[in-house]
Amino acid sequence: MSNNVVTDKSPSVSSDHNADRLAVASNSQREKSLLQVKGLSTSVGGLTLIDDIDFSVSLNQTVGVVGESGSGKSTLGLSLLQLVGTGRGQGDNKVRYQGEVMFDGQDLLKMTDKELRQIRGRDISMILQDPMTSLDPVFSIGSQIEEAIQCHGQVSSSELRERVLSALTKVKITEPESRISAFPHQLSGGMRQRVVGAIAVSCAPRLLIADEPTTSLDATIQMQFLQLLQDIQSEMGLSIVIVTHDFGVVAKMCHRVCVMYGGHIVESADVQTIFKNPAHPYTKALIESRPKLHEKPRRLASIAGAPPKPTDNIQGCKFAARCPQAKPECTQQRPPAMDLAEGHQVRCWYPLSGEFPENPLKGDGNAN
Amino acid sequence: MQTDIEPKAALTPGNSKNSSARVEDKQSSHILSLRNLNRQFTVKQGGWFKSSQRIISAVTDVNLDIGTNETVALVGESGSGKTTLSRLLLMLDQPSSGEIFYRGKDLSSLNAQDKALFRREVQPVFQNPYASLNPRMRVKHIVTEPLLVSAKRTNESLTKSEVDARLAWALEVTGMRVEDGEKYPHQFSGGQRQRIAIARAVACRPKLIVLDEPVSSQDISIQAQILNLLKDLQDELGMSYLFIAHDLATVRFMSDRLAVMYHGRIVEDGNSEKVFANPQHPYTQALFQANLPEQPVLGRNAENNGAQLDPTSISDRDKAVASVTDTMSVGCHYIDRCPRRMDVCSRSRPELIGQTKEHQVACFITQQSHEEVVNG
Repeated sequence: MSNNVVTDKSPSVSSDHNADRLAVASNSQREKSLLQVKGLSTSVGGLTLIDDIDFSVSLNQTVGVVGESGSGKSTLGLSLLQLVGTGRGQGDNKVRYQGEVMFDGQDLLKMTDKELRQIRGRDISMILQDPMTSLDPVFSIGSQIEEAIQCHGQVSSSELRERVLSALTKVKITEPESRISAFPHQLSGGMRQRVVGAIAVSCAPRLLIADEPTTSLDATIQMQFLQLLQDIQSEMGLSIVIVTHDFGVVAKMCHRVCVMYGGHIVESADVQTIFKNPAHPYTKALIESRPKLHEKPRRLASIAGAPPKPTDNIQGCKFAARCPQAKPECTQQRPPAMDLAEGHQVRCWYPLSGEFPENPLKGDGNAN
Repeated sequence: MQTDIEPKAALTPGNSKNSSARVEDKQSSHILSLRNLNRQFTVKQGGWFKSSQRIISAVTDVNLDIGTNETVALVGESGSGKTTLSRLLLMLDQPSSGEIFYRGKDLSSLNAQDKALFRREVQPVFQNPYASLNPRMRVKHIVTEPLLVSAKRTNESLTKSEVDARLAWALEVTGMRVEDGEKYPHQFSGGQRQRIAIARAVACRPKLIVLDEPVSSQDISIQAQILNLLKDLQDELGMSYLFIAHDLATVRFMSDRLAVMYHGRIVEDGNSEKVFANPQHPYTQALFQANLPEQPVLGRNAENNGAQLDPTSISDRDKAVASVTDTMSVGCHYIDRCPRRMDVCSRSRPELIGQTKEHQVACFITQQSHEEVVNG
């Protein structure tokens, strides 16, 4: 693997990379990290949902978080804004966050609720999977967009209307004047999701967290919505964290990818590396198990078994039970995140490319 | 997977007891044929004082053949009528007009016993195994229920050991353990639940399984397991599948034939290799273009592999949605979204025709070019 596997928009040069690891403000002029997550763990009642999450998002960058259900990918998205089980959980069942979520130089985990409310929706906004449940059926879409704007400051009624119209125009809703008074049930699924998008961008956020934004949409509508997100991104200069289980969405949207398994990020790299040169056996197996449009194999490569649950008490590597090249020692000790190359981290004792620098499990430290 | 444990039970197809009910269609190897099938729904519209009725056509003039041991894939967007069509051919719904022939016999003319036999031989597997399995029944009861109901309807006697043998066999071929029969659905993951649903279907030794989006609710690592299982079962047991899906790559892997539905009509139908090699209808082409890229399009050294937008602009699409229910128009249904529409498209509706049965398209553009070829 070459040492400078970088993407167009996210040149992660060596100095910058070290900065990432040390979680200090980025010193590169070309790339400024908007969001830096370091050692983030979320637990509820002693149950760790996500564990030791490290990743960063640069300006104008799209980072994909991929994983299966139960891998913690949605929890990760919600944890960034501390929205996991909000309003529920007292005493032992309280949701606990650990680590650092640095957004533009401020640690979100150290903020008060009031400060956080100012960030949510204004600086960081969110699109959830199902537009049917994230929109309120008894309010017109216009008033739901107004609400988002009014939460973050006083605006005159004429300016308010103007901003609602511009938000609707931004998401390419035709005849926005007449749509303002429409209710969610009067719109198609794709339009509803665009309205959710309009609410999300109405306060000109700098970071958009999209949790499976197109899973409930048809293929043609999905493509349009993703294209729309990209248009908005280039128009407004937005960073996007997109949570998905679909490698197609990743291939279309992302500059960088974090692959999650059992609450850990097991591999993170730029999108080209993830697809062409994955180092974690799980990433490789996932990519190989996708049916392809232009070939018809006799059988698909598949991963036996099922992903672990957060309640499973696993000592070693969480993937060891399903891993085709697991060695006995993999079940003993959990691999830490380690750097394979610049901007390429993996949690595996025997990565498929590169080698583990100081593998305590094996004398010579080289799997291949 | 082993077939030698398969019990030679009384229900095994081909048993002499049932032969009177089995009318083999000598002329064709089609297990199921749909002829000019229509299903219309009446929808009440308007307020309290001014209400009117409107007829919505969910399935219109559908002709489709499913061959023995063949997998026919049905693709289309939501609302295109795929599920209505599957309900019609499972006899869960009655067509407004048109015929369904099962092994040469018209479904509407079946007597009670033949109907029971049909219901045994044509089995469904639904999309969401969290909803399709009764949470209060043990797996063994879920799997054997269709078998027992069917035996009762056809006045067959089944001994307990025969049922148990069939249960054990069905669980084994679907990759489950016999002990799992004692458990309840909630004790299983989504992938295993779908295996239970498949076990229930194969326990009846069906001739045709209607798979309505069987993997779209599954995790990525599980999808491949289920698809491989379905292929293996087909190879070993010899069954036909109607595979309803929206993911073209999955369809490519599974299907022998591909039928594309739009607004209740089949707009393209053919050998799936031919359709994949050369999609003809503008709607099929739009579906192909809406397929997500397989390789990343961003970043350095990215090959730009065809991640273009559906040619339908968003406003065109909204317009098409608005006119979905306007099925009484005379022209082509796809006209609102079609980038290549012509005058003739609004005046008459193209029929599903082709030079061969291997690839048929309902579009004037392709038909024109055919005529040009024919006329020199």
